[in-house]
Amino acid sequence: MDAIDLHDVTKTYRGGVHALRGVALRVGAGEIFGLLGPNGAGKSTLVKIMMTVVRPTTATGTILGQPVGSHDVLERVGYLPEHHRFPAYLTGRQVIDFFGALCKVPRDVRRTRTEQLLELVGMRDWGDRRVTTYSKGMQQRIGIAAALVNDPQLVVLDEPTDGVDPVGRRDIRDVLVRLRGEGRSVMVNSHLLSEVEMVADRVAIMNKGQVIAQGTIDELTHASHRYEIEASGGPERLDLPGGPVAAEPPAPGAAPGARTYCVRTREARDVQPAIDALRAAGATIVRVTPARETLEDLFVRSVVDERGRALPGAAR
Amino acid sequence: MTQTLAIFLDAYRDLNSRKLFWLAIAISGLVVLIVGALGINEAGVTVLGFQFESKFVNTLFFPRDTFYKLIFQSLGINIWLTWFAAILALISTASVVPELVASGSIDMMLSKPITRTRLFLTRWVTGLFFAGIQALVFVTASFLVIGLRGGVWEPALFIAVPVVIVFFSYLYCVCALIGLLTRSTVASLLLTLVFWLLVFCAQKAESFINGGRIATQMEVAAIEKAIDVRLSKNAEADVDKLRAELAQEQLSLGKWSSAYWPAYAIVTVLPKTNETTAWLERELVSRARFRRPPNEDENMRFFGSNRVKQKDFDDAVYDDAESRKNVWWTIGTSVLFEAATLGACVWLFRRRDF
Repeated sequence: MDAIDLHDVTKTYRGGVHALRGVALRVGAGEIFGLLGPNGAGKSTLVKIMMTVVRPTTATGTILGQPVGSHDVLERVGYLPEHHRFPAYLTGRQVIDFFGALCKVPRDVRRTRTEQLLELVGMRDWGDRRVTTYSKGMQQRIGIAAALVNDPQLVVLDEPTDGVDPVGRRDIRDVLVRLRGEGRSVMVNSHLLSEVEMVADRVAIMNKGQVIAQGTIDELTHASHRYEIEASGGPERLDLPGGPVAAEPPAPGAAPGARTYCVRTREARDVQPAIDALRAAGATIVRVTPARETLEDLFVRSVVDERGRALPGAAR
Repeated sequence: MTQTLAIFLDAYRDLNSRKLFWLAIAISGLVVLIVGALGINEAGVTVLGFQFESKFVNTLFFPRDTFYKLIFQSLGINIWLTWFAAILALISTASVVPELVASGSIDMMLSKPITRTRLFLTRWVTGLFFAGIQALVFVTASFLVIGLRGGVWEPALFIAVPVVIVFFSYLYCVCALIGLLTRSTVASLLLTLVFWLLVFCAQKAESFINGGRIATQMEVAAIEKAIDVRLSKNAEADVDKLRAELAQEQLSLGKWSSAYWPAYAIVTVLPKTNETTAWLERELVSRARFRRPPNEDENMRFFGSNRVKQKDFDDAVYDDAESRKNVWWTIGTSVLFEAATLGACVWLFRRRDF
């Protein structure tokens, strides 16, 4: 059963702003799912609809097998909003306990879980200090702990690494991987594409209130798989059985006088004719590198227009 | 139950972190301590054992318990609990709803398995905590002072605690509605105080007009009685002047009555803060043998009555309030107003996107 299976999610705010236009999204059980998109794309609105913070105009589908909008399912969901704010009078330990109680976690279980979670997010020594004394990164860590206090099957994190230093980001990635290892589903909404790329099994890219691409990173970048052959003394163009391959301008850091030839394939055997042709032409092969589009390349290609401008998000 | 307890514990922690909460409790305790430091004997009043002689304030005029009860009545109820403590409670709790619906905070709350109606109402009830704790501390301390210093134990005093909470809840529901609409603590506090002032003025106007109506009714009755007395002594007596006076008073009574019923209707649909305090005083008179409060308006002479004594007028106003302004009218209709206001709050809270 999918953790999230949404169809036809639309949201039109007062004033006619269409934040979501028929979103369909699927997050499998036990996977890390990255939700990407520029500002105003509708990511937060979608997450808020899932968490019952915003009422959808239309929405069908399920979350952990229960209809969207069901309160009962929230007992099994952990959520960390983007700009969360904890009561200033609480300590980190009290924050975790309070949100655990709101999730109906029994007191003795909360006590044990709180200790485990403080350890997990590296805040054991800070648990009894008020949250107002925390840095942004520490607040994020406590927020993640609070999102996990009910032992959720689905964890939804909105910008979890926002304000967190590189070591902290690595720790959070480790937590996400650990959650996946425990069979939980994790949905991460983030601007840090490299972070998402490192851990996400599948991603969706949203723009203008629609999902414009969805799948594994491999599926989405399939067309961009290639081998780059760097050779010196090669010809302007290679005539291969599959078609001609023109030499491209040297890549940054390439050896002086070297040329780069891109063979669009993901199979190593398809590169051999090009290597043979270069050798036949007396060229020296410097390196052969398998390459593909990065998530950032894919994202930028999806949300930037022909003139390189960011496409606007929500639209009237 | 776990959720409700958590929200109440959170409210306690919130109150506990506010200096104003402890300051208000300390002032409440101090006020009662000062009253406790006062004493009364046959010669006059004592303050911390120092004698201040008085011809009017001594145990010959006031039994010891009456002295302390009068202070509780005039200072405790009419000034401290219904004005200062209520304002302090409003200042302390005006932020509860705006903070609940603040961005970043509301997301965390609504994403938990608790319905919006329950979440809002539970948070609102926790706001009554402040007034409740304050009233409980003050009344308990007063109970001890009246018992230890006055020599009379009056458990009926504790009726003031729920009444003060109800009184505060009239204002706090308006505060919650404004907080929900504006998301601003300052706006909700100031506009609630303005609302309270308007309600206070409406009740004072109703009370004033009612005083005029009752005074004129008594005047009419007195003139009619005077005519009857004269005619019973001499059937041929000249009562034309009295009849003319009677006609004028009846005309006046008609005007007072036509002004009164709209004022009464307006006050009926509003929360009755002054009336609730007055009702509490009447309850303490009957349950805890407090003295009847004098009619504070003392508007008898203002109304130009010549035939009705001030004391009779005060009694008539008191009896009128006791018969017509009972608990159902005073608190029942106020609670209806509160229910309607809270209903509007819940409706808004359930429908809003955050």
